[in-house]
Amino acid sequence: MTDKHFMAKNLASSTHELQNILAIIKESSCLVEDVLQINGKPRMKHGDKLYHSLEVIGEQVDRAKVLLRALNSFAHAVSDGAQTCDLVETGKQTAQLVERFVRLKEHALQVVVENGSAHIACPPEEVIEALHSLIIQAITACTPKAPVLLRLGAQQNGQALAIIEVAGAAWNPEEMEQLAAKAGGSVVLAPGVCTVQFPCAASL
Amino acid sequence: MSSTLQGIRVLLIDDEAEFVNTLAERLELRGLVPQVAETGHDGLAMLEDSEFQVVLLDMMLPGMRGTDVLRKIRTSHQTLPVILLTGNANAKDGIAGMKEGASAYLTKPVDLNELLRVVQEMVQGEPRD
Repeated sequence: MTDKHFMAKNLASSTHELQNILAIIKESSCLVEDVLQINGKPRMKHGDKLYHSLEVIGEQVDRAKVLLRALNSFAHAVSDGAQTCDLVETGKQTAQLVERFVRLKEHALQVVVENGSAHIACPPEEVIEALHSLIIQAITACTPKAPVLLRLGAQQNGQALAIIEVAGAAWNPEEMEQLAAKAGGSVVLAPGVCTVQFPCAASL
Repeated sequence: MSSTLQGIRVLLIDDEAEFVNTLAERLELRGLVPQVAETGHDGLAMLEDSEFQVVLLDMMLPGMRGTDVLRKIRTSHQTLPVILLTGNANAKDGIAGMKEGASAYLTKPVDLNELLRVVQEMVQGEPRD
């Protein structure tokens, strides 16, 4: 077993277990809501704080669920050794994984799906790594607080496209080409726009 | 809640005791009649002893795994609706379960409204053993 597979296997297992824990938190919190609803809103002191807290628990479980699913899927992609993936799904997972980095740099990331799905002949974890790194590079030198757009799924000439748009991005062509090539892709750069092309699975 | 769910007997098979018992309580509050098994063996024994209209089955059980339990259920209850619960984020496990004869699959944490909708569909749409 390689280091990568060892890490992936443990990550898949841990995220699975965390989903079980989230499920228990969610069910327990929802059961309290059910009981309160059945009994009518009890007139207790600070009762509004109880309802607000239950709402917050629900929201945070949903927030954690999104991240855990992306991580679990990423881990399974590595441990299963998948050689193809759906660029749209994989791109969405990347967005969930990179979102915190983007937020810490005071940018906001938006995903735009141009096409429902686009199957490409690239291992999903490599696509995630490439898109993740390209987005980080895009926000390293760009217009402060500029929104980051990730457009997914458009296709042309047997290639599926992931397009990163950030105003004022100072691309490093050589590094970006290397990052994309690692996942079997290539890049086309224009001011503020990095188009990553991946070969469609059907065209091979 | 739809009256068609009242009295529906559901067997929940999941080793996460806190999760499955709380889910059972929530189903009970909505008029369903849930029973809980924490292992595949217990679940199969309960199926032999009592009549259920729907089974909710976790895929990742210790010992006898969910797909093994599903196969055993299918030998004696060919048309009993079985809804799989998977913690796996990708659809692979769910699709594998459907190939083994599951009626539907849901991912954890469960959306109760979605679960009730699926149960309702199963109970209305499928013949019972």
